[in-house]
Amino acid sequence: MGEIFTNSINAFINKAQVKESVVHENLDADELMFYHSLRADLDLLRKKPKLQTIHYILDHSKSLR
Amino acid sequence: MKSDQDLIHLYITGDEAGLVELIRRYQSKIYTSIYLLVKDEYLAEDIFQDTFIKVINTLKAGKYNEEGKFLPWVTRIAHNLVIDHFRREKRAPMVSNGDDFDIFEVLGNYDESTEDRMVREQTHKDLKTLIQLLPSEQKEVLIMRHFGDLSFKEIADITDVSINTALGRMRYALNNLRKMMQSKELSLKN
Repeated sequence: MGEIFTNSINAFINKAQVKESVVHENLDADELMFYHSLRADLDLLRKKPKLQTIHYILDHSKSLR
Repeated sequence: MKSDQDLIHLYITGDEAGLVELIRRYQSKIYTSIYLLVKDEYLAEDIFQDTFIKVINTLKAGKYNEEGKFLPWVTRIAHNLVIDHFRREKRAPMVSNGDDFDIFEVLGNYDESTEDRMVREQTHKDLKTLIQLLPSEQKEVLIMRHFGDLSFKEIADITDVSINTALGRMRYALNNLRKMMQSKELSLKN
């Protein structure tokens, strides 16, 4: 009896998880249009770390050899 | 082009070029995400560095789960380090994060000189300022989605919420940005 109950609960939870995982990842048309109008400007905000930081990371990696 | 998994394998087996390429491929996405959250270049450099040191140590220790994707994994590490930083600082990174957030209240906190400065700045600087005014959860999702290039599923996993919540936060972020831009009569070039 307990096992049947556990199985049913698990099936219910799994179903709920599957349902959530297939949620369509798109925004509404209006929101998407606004987002697309922002994209180019958002891209202007992209930055890179300093070379010195990258070198430090690579040096750390080499030190572990 | 080699896959992330190929590069990781290359690195684990002793070829540093694997790591170099992984950093080259993702440095901008990860650094920009950190920088926009902490708003300080020096701190962002430190957190970026600590993030990759953790990545290296995990890879070298053979603890990396090959089923996971590399970028979401690194973003999660960076995200946790940012949270650790704010916990240590004991200060909130953003203006508000509650359900009762009112964007017009935030805008009211602007004094005249700040507003004047915004008008003079470049469009991207204005936009950066507005992003900083978003509640932390909304800002996080916008940054991870746009700059980190993560799916809502990946964002949901990293921030420990449902996909619907992550999606809802993105909607609120966009709507709040739009309201702020309308209120400040900001227009974008594109």
